[in-house]
Order: sequence, then structure tokens, then C-alpha cells
Amino acid sequence: MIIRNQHQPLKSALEALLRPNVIRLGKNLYGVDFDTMKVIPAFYTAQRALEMGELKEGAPIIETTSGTMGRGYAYAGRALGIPVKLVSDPVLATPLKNELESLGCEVHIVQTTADNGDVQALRLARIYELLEQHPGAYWGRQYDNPLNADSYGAVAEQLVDEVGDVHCLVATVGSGGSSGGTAKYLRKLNPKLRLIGVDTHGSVIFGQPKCSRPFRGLGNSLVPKNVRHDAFDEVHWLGAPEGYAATRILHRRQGMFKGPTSGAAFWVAQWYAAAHPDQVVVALLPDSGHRYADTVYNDQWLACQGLTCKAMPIAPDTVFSPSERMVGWTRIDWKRRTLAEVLPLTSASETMK
Amino acid sequence: MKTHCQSSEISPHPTCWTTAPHPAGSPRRSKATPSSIVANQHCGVGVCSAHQGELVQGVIRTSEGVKRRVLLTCPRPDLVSHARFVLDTDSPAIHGAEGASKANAAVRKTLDFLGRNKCGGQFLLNNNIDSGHGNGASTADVVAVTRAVADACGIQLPPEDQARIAVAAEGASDGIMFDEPVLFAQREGVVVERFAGRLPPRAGLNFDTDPEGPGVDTLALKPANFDDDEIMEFGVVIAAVRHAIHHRDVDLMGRATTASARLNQRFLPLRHFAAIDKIRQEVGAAGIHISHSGTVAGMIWRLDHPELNVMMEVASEALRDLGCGRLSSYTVY
Repeated sequence: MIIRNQHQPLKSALEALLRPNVIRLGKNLYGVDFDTMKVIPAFYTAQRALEMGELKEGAPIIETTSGTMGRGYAYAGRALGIPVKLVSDPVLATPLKNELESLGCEVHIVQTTADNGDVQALRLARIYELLEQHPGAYWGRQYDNPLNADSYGAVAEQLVDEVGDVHCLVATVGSGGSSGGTAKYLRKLNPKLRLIGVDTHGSVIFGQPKCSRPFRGLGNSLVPKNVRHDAFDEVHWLGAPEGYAATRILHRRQGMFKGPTSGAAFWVAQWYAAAHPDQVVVALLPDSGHRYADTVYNDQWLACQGLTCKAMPIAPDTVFSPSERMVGWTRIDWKRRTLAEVLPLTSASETMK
Repeated sequence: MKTHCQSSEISPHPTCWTTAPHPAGSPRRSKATPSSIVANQHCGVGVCSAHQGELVQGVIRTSEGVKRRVLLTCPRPDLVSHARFVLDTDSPAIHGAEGASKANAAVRKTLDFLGRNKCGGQFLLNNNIDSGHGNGASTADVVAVTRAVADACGIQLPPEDQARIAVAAEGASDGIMFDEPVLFAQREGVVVERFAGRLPPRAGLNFDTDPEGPGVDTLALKPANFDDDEIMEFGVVIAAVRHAIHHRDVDLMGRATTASARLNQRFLPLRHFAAIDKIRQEVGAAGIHISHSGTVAGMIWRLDHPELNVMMEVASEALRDLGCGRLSSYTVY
């Protein structure tokens, strides 16, 4: 628990990473402005693993990542004095790799010419190799480690402290940690809290058929154990052009230079907030825009990739089955059901056609 | 603080019962001290009110990673303990009521704290608080007598010192020595957080879930061992209390007290908890709060609830039907 005293400087740079600013974006809309959200689960997981004795003194934390979880562990490990070994593939951007190595992380890049599935297998094989080499090491396992979700109790705490009662939480879903964890603790006070998950077309998390996902950093090609489907009241899918355009709107409208998942969460949240003026709506904005300066923020790149958004939709289309073919911006009333509860209906409606 | 207890700093006390008949006859004058000391300097009074359990209670993890048991006391100004103390500068012996061993210990600790190791005296306690139900009868006695001893010595002890003495005398204490809401570490006797403001305006109903029962032996209770998940949840509860006090938000306060009560059912289950929680929903109360070492509890409403009086009447009726007793209502503006 970190209580910021407004009249005192922060105790450390880590405290700044662990305590994001909560920013008012509209009459009934707030954004949680994380620089790197994943520092929160990384720090909590590492701290608990040490405390429970699952991570031995001097042994490393190991994680497979090509995104911001590595950055989270790099900063958490530095603060706690824990060595960090990360396994990634050539997708890892050079500036991020430099930053991680500058912090003292060991970055293992698995080289392959095979397709994407094999890269995951190779990364996993390297993880097991490292675990064998380093007795007492701890594997973070962000997709199925319950500590990942539980760490977001700190975010719920800060939200209640600063905003008070929250009626609706909008979060993008990748590992299920931030959405499920924050909602779980907010619901201890307000069980009726509406949780809206934001995903992208081609991500299997909420039952879309698996296909290539141009949207960077959103969705998943597997269903992580940490995603508690029955916690969600509503699910939205945004395509890359819409999500990227929303990110640019957030930048121009609020002066917030954020990553594309932030744009997607913001867009869904501002739509819900406008439709429900009596509710307090909060959007989690996971990372800053610096890693996307030559992509999402580059009009030429967008045009080359065919990801320019011609007309930004102002409202989503409601779908009745997550396995429908989708374009643009869609939503479904998930109604706190499990994936299995939603999918049988889907196959039934499919056969009816 | 000990520098305050030199006789030169002794000042007259308007609260002292100088005209009342003295329990130990006329106050004994010390031969060692000169005639500059007036009669009432040897006699002191202290008052402390009790509580209706705790608004919230649980375990927090400090920013240093240390686990601490903390609580926020629910004040009960209508239940009070009055103490009188007559200082004896000649003998360290302490005379008090039968069975008031904690109060006895508090007198000794206070005298020692004030640097009067060689002094003793006689105390008298008078209260309207039932013990064993979670109203904090023994702590109210301890704090009242601590204040009386300090008063007899011509000193006003800050609540922080009263808290330390109470914990030394009792092993654990609650935060009734503080006038403003504080998050109190009951085993260390220290304030972890001062909330910015008073408790929100509210209407309340106090009751006892087991009025005929034997009560709870506080010392026999096993401490609530919160796991990491419960510590995290309690962090959210405290954040809600902080926001509710700062913004005078009874609804949020009620959510926090209800969540805290629910969280603690694993450790000391309250009789009829589920039924009481159901009544809370039916009567539109903001929340329920419980005692974590007794059988008392309470329910709070926002003052602008459109049917407040009717709802409080319905709640009283339903609680009586459950077998609850010792009901009393109050309003805080």
C-alpha cells in the first residue's frame, strides 16, 4: 500500500512507476495514465515470490516476453536487487532491448526461421533451460500466475482513494491481469461494477476465430488462464485502424501520448460515459506512446500498412456471437458468462444460418 | 513529554471535582512539597467514552512491507467511564476497585510515565458500559483513569501517550482516546494514518446481536491472520474510508464498513450476520459495522434518505425479531 502524501516528494523513482496519475478526461470519465502498467504485476510477483521462498535469494526471475512485461521485470528487479533474465524473439525492438540491457537484464533472443507457433515453443524451451541452469529461479508466468491479477488491488485502492465509487471499468485484455484484478477488488465495495473488456478481431480470448492481428499489443492467440470470462459484463472488439485512430484522437484531444491499447480503451470508455452520464467511468491506459512513434503516430506508415481509418465509428455494432466475422468496432453483452456458456450459443446460431 | 511533569508547571484544573466528597477522605498533602501546591492538585478526574465496535478492522502492509493490525473505532459518546484519582506522594501503593486490574496497571504505567515512580494513590471508576459485548468497557476505564492520574499530576497527556499507556496496560487497545478518526494499530498503540476530517454525517442504529450471551473473552480470541488477498482487499476498504471521510460520503463509508465486516466473518463470525446483511439491503442502509471482539454491531444511513425514520423503525423491528437487543439510535450532523 502506497499512500502518496501530496506535500512530500516521492520516496523513489519506483514509487512513480507504481502510482500512476488518475486524470479526468470528461465530466464522468477518468483515465489511469500508466507509463508501464506491467511494473505493477512484475514488482508484486517478484516481492511475493521472494517472501514465499519460491524465489531464492540471489536467483533470477525469468520471463518470456516481447512487450512491456519485460520492462516491468527490468525495473522491479533493479529495485529489489533481483537478477532478471528475459527470453524474447527478433520481434523485440532494439531501443527496448537496449533499455533492458542497460538495466542489467540478460535478454535471450531465440532465432528461428520457422513460423510464429514455433517461436513460442522455442521461447518456452529456453525458459526450461534457464530454470534448469539456475536453481531457485522463479518463472513469472504472467498468463496463468494469479499474482498477476492480484497485484492490481493496488490500482483499485488508488482509484477508490482518488475517485471514490467507480461504476464502470474499461480495460484492454491481454493476460487478463489488469482487467480481472482491478475489477475483482473494486467489486468488493461495489459488486455491481460494470466491467468492459476491449479486445481485437482475430484474438481468441473472447471466442473470435484465430487469425493474424495487425493491432499491436492487444489480444492473444491463446486464452490465458488469468482471463476470468465470467467477470465481464460487456466485450468490445476494435480493429487496428479504429484503435490507432482513437489513439491519435486521445493525443490531440487530451495531449496524452499513449500506446494504441490506451487509445482503444479510451474510445470505448468515452462512448460508454457519454451514454451513461450518471455513472463514473474509468479507463486503464496501459503504456506511453514512445514505442509507437514511427508506427501508430506515423501517417505514412499507417498508409503503407493499409491501417488508415477512413471514418471513425462513433458507436459500435452489437453482435450476438463472438465468432462472427467482424470489421470496425463491435460489442457483445457478455453478461458475466464463461467462454463455454457463450460459445455453445454461438455454434447453435451458426447452424441456424 | 516527561519534562512537563515538574511541579512548577502544575496549573489549576477546572474539571476537578473539588467540592465533591472525596472517596478516600480528604486528599493527603505531601510533606515533601511546599504549601505552594493547592489542594486539588492531588485529585484528578478523567472521562472517556466507549465505542460500538469498529467501523473497519484488518491488516495492512506498510510501504516498508511490514504487516500491521489496524482498526477505526466507531465512537459511542453516550456510553462513558468516569474516573477519579487521588495522588499519594508518600507511598507507591495503588488502591482501586476489585477486579479492575487493567485500570490498576494503567495507573502504575501513567505514574511511571510521568516520572512519579514513588507515587501511588486511589482511584474510583464509574461507568454505564456493559463489558464483554465489544463496547470497549475496559479500554474506556483504562483511558479514563489514565486521564485522571495525569490530571491529578497537573498534566494533559496527548492522546498518543494515552494510547501507548493503554496498550502497555491491556496488551491491545482501541483508538477511543482520539477525538478525530484515526487508523489505529491496536497492538503497538500507534496511529498509522490520520483521516482528514470527521466521520460523515449519518443516522445510525446500534444493537447487540447476543444481548443475553456471556460475551466474548477478548484475550482468548485468536488474531485474524489475513492472507495476501485479504490484505489487498482491506487496502481498498481503507481507501474507501479515506475518500468517504474527506468527501463526507456515507454511502461509500457504508460500503467500506460492510466489506470489512464481511472480510472478518472468517475470524469471529457475528451471530445472524447473513440475516442482518439482508435487513441492511431491505431498509436501504448504507452499511453495517461490527465489533471484532464482541457481539455489538450497527447500521448506518445517509441523513437525506427519503424514508429514514420508517426504515430505521423497520430495521429495529426486524433486528428485534432476530433476537438482537440493546438497540439505540443516534444522528450525527
